[in-house]
Amino acid sequence: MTARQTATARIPVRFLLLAGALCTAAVTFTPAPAAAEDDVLANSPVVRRQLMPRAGRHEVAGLFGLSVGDPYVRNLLPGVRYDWHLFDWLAVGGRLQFGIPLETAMFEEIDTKVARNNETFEMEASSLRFIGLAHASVSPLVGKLLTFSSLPVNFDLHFDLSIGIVGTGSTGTNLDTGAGISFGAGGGVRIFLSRVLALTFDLQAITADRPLSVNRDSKEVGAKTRFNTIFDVGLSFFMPPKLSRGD
Amino acid sequence: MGSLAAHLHPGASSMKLPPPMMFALRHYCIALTIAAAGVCVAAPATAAPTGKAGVKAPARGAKRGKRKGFRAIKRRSKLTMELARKGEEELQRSVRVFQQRYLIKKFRAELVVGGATELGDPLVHHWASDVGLTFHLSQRWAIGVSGMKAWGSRQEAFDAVQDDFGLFPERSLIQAGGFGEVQFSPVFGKFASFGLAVVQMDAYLIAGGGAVRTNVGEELKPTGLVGFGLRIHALRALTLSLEIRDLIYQEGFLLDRSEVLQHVFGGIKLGLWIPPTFTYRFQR
Repeated sequence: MTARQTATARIPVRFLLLAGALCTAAVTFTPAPAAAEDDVLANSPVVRRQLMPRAGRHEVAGLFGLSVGDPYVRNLLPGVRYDWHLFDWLAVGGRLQFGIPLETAMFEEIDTKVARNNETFEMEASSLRFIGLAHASVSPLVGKLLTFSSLPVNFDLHFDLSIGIVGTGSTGTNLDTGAGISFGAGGGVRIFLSRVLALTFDLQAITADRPLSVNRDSKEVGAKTRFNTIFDVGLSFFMPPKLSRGD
Repeated sequence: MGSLAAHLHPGASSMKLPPPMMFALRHYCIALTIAAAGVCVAAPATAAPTGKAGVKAPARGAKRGKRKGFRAIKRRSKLTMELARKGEEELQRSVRVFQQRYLIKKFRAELVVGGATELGDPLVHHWASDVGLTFHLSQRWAIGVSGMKAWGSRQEAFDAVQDDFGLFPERSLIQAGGFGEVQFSPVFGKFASFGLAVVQMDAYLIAGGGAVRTNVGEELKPTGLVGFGLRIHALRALTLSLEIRDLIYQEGFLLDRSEVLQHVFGGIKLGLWIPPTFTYRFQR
């Protein structure tokens, strides 16, 4: 094949490229019929290039918990929580919290009023000494919020199942104290302030074997397994700082 | 231009494309055209040894020229592809799709029906059912009225205080209540679940006042109401709201004692919107 023949043979390729460019321009600048438009996004994913702020990252959170619904002693529960996010929707981890008992107004009132008839009476109630739980956490709902139409933040709703040990204490000496196996369930919301910082608000219910208080004779009453509801606020740090995106 | 917008976003044929997209699209087409034209111009150079001189070139020179020409075409072809790819990427990046609000609230009424349970009180517990009508003045502000019927009971700790200590806890049980309220929605957002669907929502604050009737005394007690909620826009005529409401009132007990009591309710509500349909000011 001569050079001329080769050049001649290549002409269709050039024309093909030119034709391709012209066709692209034609398709671009010519209005398409409305019927064809409807099929363009058919079967395409609902969410594309989704930001995955949890996938493959480690989360360490400082927690501050408060027991809810304790009649006599309210427990402040500072602690730490760790999560290893295996996927964007699944994490495993654990938490450790220590209890600081605070007597409620009812505790004080009972102490004062019962002591009027029984001078030896001293009000005593049980408390949570520590909580050590391992958990699995699922984040089925993820999204973003726009506050005052200007401040976008990512958030997720998550649910936890946990198992571990809970230690119980007392404000006095007449109630039994110790530690026992605990089961728990809970959930909350995580709001991302930046790539590495997030605020968490959680409500968890954990079981603990404990009595509520002594009676007017300073004897233990009502020891049984109870659900203890705890509200936690946390500040989380995520590592590594780099985020991944979906397809 | 409008047609491409229509391809990328159905129904967007009337949408004006943003400048970055115009830029990317223009460069994509220009790059493709120039590159193709470049190939056309470059190709004759490969035939120059024969065509230009009019005599047959030596075989080695012809082969070298042929290889050189082939490499030039290949290089330009690669460049064309690269430019096209970059243009395509730029085009993809420059496309911004702005979703319409799924639910228009302005000048629509929301008929609310739901139930609630009391949270966190160690002494008493309530179940409640709610009915309300909220009129949305704008996307953010709304006013409304609501009524509740409650069923209360004493908790274990209430009986323990009575039985173990011989004392009577000063708590009352709510029987019914009625309130006027204002809603403010500063937060708007959306969420997805495992990429199956995207659902829009808004969060709102509630403040208001009214009166409740309790099992202590016959008179109505003035009551303050604060709370917050999350409204999930399930359908254009139906929403699902999760709410926390705190009722605060003063209750009188024996010996002219009075106590400020607080009951926190967590509830779920269905909102039926009237009218059930609406028309967007700007259609897609």
